[in-house]
Amino acid sequence: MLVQEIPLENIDFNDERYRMSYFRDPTAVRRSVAAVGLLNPPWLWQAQAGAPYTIICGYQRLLAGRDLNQRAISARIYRADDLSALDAFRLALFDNLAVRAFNPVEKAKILQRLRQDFQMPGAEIVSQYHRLLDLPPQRAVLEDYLRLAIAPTERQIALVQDRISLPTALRLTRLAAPDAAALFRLMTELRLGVNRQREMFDWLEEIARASGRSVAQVATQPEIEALLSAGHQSPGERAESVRQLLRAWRFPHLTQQEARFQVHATALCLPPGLRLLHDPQFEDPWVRIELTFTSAPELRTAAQSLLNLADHPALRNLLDLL
Amino acid sequence: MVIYAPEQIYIDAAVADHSLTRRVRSRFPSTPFTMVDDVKALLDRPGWEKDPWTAGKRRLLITRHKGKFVKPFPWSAGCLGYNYYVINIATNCHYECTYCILQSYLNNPMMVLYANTEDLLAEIRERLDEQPNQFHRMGTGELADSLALDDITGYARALVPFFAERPNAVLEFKTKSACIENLRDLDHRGRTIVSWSLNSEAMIQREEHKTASLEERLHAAAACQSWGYKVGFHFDPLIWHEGWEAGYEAAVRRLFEMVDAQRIVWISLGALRFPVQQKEVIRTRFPRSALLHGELLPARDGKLRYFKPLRVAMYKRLAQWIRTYGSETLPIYLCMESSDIWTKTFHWTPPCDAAVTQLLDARINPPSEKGAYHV
Repeated sequence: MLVQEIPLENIDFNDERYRMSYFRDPTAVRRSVAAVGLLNPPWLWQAQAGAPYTIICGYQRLLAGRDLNQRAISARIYRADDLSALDAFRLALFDNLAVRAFNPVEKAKILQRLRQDFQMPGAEIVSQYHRLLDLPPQRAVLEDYLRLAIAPTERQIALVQDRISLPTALRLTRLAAPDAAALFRLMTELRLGVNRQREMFDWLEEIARASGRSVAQVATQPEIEALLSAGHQSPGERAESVRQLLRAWRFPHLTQQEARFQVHATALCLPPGLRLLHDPQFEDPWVRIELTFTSAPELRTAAQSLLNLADHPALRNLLDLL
Repeated sequence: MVIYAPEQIYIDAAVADHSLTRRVRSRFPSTPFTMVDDVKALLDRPGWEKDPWTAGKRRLLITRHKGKFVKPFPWSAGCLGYNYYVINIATNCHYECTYCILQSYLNNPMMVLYANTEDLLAEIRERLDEQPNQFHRMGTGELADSLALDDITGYARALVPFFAERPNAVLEFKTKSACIENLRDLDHRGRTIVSWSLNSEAMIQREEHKTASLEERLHAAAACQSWGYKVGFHFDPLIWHEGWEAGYEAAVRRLFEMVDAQRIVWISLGALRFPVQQKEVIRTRFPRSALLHGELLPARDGKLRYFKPLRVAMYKRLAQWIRTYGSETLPIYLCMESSDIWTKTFHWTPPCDAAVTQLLDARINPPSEKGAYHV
């Protein structure tokens, strides 16, 4: 291992075989390099004398240096005779592991390199590297991450930026490309939280399979498109509208029952401040009354209305639904 | 029906000389076997299979059961239950029912047989002797199919004669198999009930892979009746699907064509239910299953169940067909359901768990022979 002054033009920035950083904000590194230069020499690897250098450690810093028009840097040089490609990769991996956590895309890229560039058997990757990366030692997990490594970049960025959750990103990799694209579009346009993403994913898949259509066909139904383009609604309102539509498709009997309950509740002509509630799934046979009041006369009026409810013919219809 | 044949046998060194071990080894003389000193290490060993469950079921472990064999049945909160104990003499099942709860319940996917049946029998004997005036209903079908491996294990030949001598207990086998040969010629004295989970033939084909067909199950039930056994049936899980009415009506009709209704002890009905987390298992292991198409909603016990009116509709129709094609007096009970569902289905409900117990015990011990047992 040597420390040498290396012209930046001799570094092959396109050779990313040891790259560990993806979709990270370079601002802080650039600011640091601009202010004080490279404090620690990056590590470079050279397959043979005269060949371009490959970056082992310091990818972000070297990118910043290049962007800042630096011409040469001081670097530690490893030759192929001293350090095999796999050892160089492990060096980069452990160097990063010591100081930070990898995001899911970085983990995926690491696993992909081990599998593809180093032809490491999957079982070996699972047993030796999953724990290092804080992943369950399961083949299915490896396969998910290998697919994530080659997922469209916009989806990888959405994952790193938390616009889609990790479970969603991994599930998307298991879908056919048009289905994944349609679902991804829907989820990012509606800006759903983690639980809502899972719910929508489940519902769309189940509706699609029950009706013999693809997820993409369901996700692009005219009713959904109309809701997505409702310009007068906020993203949150649009998300709720789409959710209600999918819910009605997924649970037709439940939503019809809810509608019938509302019809009968309306027929009871409840005074303001009184609301009838039911078990969300109609599993338990109860009706709950919610009463809101701000004064004693309001309470008295509402209480009188409540008593009258017991004799109202619409009440029997409502109770029959339970 | 697929007969089980392991691809690899692991033998806990502690049971190497046990009769069950010898029986399994002589049954599969050419199957590779490995003697294991540390069973836990074996079970903890990471696997590299695409589907650990499918691969795990090809491996058979014979070991010693270290805890209690007998446990109270885990009824869900809010459901009417009855006095029932499960006997865990084996875990896992080589059948591939898409809805099987073992997929999300068991910690390891291997087929496990417990060789220390002498400890099992001692534990049951002790429990029954401690409560001589209490009537006990026990079954082996909770963590494994009761009979699917019986041609290998021969458990039935140990258990049936044992229960034959116990006046305060009855044993129930629950199976989706037709493996009944070991039951022939046993002196059961009416203390063993053989029961079958039934479904429509379409659902057996689609969701109960590797199990016996409806015809095979009913033939087996008829044979058991001819050997004097009391038989029971569990239409469980009822699966809501296109054409369910025709499918289940045909199954009920066929049941009573094949089996004498007067010698059926009970029929239970239970709709599909499984823990929420099992959805992912079903999706992954059985992508062609239609189970998840149903209108399944989260219930209080953390399980997904069909929307209540759908369940009630299925129960009512099944009960009606059982009455029409079978018998007006045959006890039908609901499995894992609340009083509300009982009332909506039958227009009455047992007031408490003890009443359900009483209803079922009356079928095993008619009042004249019931003696002093408390229910």
